[in-house]
Amino acid sequence: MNRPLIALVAAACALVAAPAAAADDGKIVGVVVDERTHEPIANALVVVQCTCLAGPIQITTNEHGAYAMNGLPPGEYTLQVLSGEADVSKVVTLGAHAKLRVRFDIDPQSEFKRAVRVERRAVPMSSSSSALYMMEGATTQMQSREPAPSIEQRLQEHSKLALAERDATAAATGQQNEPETPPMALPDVEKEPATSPLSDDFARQVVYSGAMTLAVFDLRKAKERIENLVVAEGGWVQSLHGQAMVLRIPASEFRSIADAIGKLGRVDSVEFEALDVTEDYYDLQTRIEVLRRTQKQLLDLLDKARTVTQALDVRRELDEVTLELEGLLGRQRVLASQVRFSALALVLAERIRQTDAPSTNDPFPWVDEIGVEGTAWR
Amino acid sequence: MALKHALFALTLAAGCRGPLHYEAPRGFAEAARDWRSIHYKASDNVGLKLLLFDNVAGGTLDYWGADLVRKLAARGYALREQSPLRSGNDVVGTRFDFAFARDGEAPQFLVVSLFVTDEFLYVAQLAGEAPLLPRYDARITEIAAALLAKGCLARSDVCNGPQPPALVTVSPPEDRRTDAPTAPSESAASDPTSGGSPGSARGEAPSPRSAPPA
Repeated sequence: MNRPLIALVAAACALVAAPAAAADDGKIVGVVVDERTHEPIANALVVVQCTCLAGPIQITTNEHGAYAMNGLPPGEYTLQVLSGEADVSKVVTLGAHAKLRVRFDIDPQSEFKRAVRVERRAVPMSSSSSALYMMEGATTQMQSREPAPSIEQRLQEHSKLALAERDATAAATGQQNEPETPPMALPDVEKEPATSPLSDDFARQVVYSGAMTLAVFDLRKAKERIENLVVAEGGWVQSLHGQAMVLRIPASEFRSIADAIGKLGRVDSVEFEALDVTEDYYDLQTRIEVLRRTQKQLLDLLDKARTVTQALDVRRELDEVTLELEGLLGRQRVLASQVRFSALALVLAERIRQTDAPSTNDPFPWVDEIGVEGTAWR
Repeated sequence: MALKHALFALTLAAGCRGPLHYEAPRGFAEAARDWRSIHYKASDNVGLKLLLFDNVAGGTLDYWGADLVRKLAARGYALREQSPLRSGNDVVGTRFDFAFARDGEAPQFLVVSLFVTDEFLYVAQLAGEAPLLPRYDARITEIAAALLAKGCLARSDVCNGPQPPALVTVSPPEDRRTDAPTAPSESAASDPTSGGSPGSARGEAPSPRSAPPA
């Protein structure tokens, strides 16, 4: 192969490789300020995580409260700011060649928010970009350049973080200190729609259920009509034993379907319940997020383990965390299902003379035996 | 002596027939019978059902007529016509013609012939699909005439009582023309957030002109 040909091949490779390299030129910049005094916060720790990165990045803000990272590949980034008591996270999506400004308004004294509004503003990129993580006017450190803490230290740190998050969430709920925007959705759990038929409050998670006893003249026909009603609205018959059935009805249609079922016969008894599980739901969500974070960091630690003993220790912890995480995810799915689909326990009774209870306290129920249903034939 | 025994046996036999005695009318086959009801079926699925109820003190034709119309109206039946009738033994009765339509089903007719004696209420109800009513309309009188309403006391006002006043029902809304729950239950069913509130029946219920039975 002669020299010009080699040069040609090299040039072609460079042309092909150039767009890929150029894609890693995203930029995230922002400022961290005290939301009460509006003063910039210096030396706040900003932790940036993304599956598109080899590992987390930690930087600190400069004296103007500013931070910046260059040379970032596109992906979904989690930005976490730690300052004093504050621990605030935001999730942003960085496109190719994009620049995002992410501002944090925090309260270092008592701040705790699970997730707050994400301010994403793409700005034109400057022509110069760097493949290095750079800090504008502040020190920049990659985690891999720091001395790695021991496994025990990391686990203790995460346990403390998890406990602090749970306590803070409970406190926030108790003090009705609602977050300004809906909490961050879990990627593995189907995002819940506004399920309350009674309220437009998106964040509320309410489980509706009910029980009804219905007297009908034609059991078979009534069952068919009820099943058709429920299925047509996206529900299903969860169980059917004789004349007792449990219906799962989309919560938004619960009221109208229960009403329609009531019209199929004589309602002898009816009872509805509403249970607000918002606290349980978001407590589960918080615990899941914490465990996910712990799990991810344990995986990182596992990669960095240098001895078999270290690897086994991390693996053991990882297994426990994974097991607990799966259990919580299962519980959350059940809870989400209960919120989305209300349960109506229905007992059908045949309206015949011997068992026909009066529909009211009327002493003369004789008219109950009169009507098309008990007279005409099919 | 033999004559006395014969009379006793005859009386006993007559008593055993019970107060509800009826022969199957032309075109109907007997599907079920017990001491207080007989159910017939025509080949076109029109049903004829005779029912017997015990009357109570104060129960008159206009009282039970109003009770009937009010309660059926609450279940979605609309009264179309009301006319006088007489049973085979000349007891005064009333014919009530109702229309009924459940959601998604063919409209049906219900004709209730009501006779009230001192001891019993006799109800002959004929029901089927609405288009079949003309075929049976003229036979209602014949069917009523074949009924012997027993239980009239001598010089009874009940058996010869006046016709009920002209009763009316307010046609229920289309979405309520069903076999209905009663008002309180339905009210509760319509709103999961409320425990249910008492409401009025759907039909316009005329008040009985006579005092309720004791």
